[in-house]
Amino acid sequence: MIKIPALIGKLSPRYIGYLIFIILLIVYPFVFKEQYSLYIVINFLLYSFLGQAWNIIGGYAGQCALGHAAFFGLGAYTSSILFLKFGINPWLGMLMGGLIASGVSVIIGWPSFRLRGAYFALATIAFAEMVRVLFNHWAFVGGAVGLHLPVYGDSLSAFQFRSYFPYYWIIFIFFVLECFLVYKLSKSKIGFYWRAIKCEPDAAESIGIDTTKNKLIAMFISAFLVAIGGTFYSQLMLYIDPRSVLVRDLSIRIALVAIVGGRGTIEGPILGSLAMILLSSFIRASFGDIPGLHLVIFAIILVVMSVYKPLGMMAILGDLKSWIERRKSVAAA
Amino acid sequence: MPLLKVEKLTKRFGGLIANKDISFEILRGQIVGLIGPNGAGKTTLFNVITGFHKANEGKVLFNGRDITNLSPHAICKKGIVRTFQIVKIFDEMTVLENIMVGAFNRYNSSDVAKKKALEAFELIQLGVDPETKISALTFAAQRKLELARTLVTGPELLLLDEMMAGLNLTEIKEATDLLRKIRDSGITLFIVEHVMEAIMPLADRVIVLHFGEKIADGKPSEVAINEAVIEAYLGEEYA
Repeated sequence: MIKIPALIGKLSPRYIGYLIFIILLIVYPFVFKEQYSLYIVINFLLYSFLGQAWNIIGGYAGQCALGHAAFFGLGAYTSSILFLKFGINPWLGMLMGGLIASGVSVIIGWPSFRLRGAYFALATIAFAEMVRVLFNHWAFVGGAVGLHLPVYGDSLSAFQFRSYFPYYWIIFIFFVLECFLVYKLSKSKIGFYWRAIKCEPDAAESIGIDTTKNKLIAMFISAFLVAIGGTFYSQLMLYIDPRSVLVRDLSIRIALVAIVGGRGTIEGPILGSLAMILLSSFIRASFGDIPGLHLVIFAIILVVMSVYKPLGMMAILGDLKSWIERRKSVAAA
Repeated sequence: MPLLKVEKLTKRFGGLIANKDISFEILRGQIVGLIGPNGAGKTTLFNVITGFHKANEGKVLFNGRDITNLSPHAICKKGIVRTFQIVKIFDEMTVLENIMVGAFNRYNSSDVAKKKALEAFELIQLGVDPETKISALTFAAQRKLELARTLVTGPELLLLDEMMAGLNLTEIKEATDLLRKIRDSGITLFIVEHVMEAIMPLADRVIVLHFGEKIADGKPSEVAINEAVIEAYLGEEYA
């Protein structure tokens, strides 16, 4: 038999933290059963999921993409349209939406990866706006009115449920699998290549790294995952329109959770998402429903962070850790 | 067959001719120096050979194969790697991780790349822990790190752009020894250098550029007394 205390003794504090976090998420829905409590954490997990997907291209590969709402919307629309017009199962539609978003991401990435820094960000914003305008005027996909998915009640195969409880588990599993995937990628050859491209693209090229190809792969995976989040959202809400799934606001929120939390780290998007959910709940509770106020405050935090802590909340945690270590060594001396 | 053959290479930036009709060969196992006054076109020549700039005319042959205007990563795969005049280190990585990125050029597994990176790390003798952050390194150490990162990609030809610039005498001595060691391991070296005390004793041959043109090519002792070279460096009245 495995002695659990001995096993835990071998784990670093970081892994113990992961373990506690996962256990909390597993226990949570059994303790807080109200729909609203579940909804809050579903939102937290969805934004962590989206932020982590952005983290691949924006954090690890260092390309500041600001049009990820397009991929989210493509995922949401593809599965919904396939289901409504062709009766294709939404789970299958989710994968097809992922592939379509990935395909589109390569088409947009190919020319825009020649641009660096702010110009790349501008190109992605422009692209996402084009997609939004297109869907807004395209009658086949419901135009500005949007799409309603028919209600089936509780059905795993139709990817819809009356309670938030099953949705909680679905997004929880997506989130855990995604974090595992990103962690594995970050420790592998391609993860090293992405970080090299982020720091010094010319040096990366000179030692044999096909920078365009590796950025495209990052974009491909990132878009695929965000599109999956889009399908999850459409199945959760059973209603989508360009205003909810294709807006610039959403692109920025996806990037923000990763940037505020700490881009290029596994924990960053999770911390950022947590901060955003807590902050918006707090602001809603204290100031009533002033729309978008939490975003204003979030933006102020972002500006302050960019100036003092460009690597996000993870950098603050790092400072805290070295401060504690210094205190310890002082105490020991 | 020469390892590298450059044929009638010309590179223009608008009206400015940075490299004009340059031809030369580099034999396997040599150390060849590339010298010339500032703005002579040395770095441009490196950039064209390694694919960072596209040549307007002429050819670059490596191992007899035409590699003109391939992309830099493709040229690296063929066996030519270069360093940069301004050090380009991946500053968000540790010393060892920097070298590992280079090792991935030949190995896919992280474990193997790490092992190869550690070997190269031993060779450059930085005297620090492999997990050290880049910000803690001296300038000379960063130069050496960049060299180690190129070595683990498994090159046949190494292009070094002013590696000695900014180093003190002890560091130049160390770097010179290191370069000889690298040459003895079978890697051919092509070196842009301003520090004459360093390059003249080290090089088997020296090529001199002036205003984008090749004005001399020969043994260091011959080139040092070549009239065109003295004129280029010191001005007409000394020739």
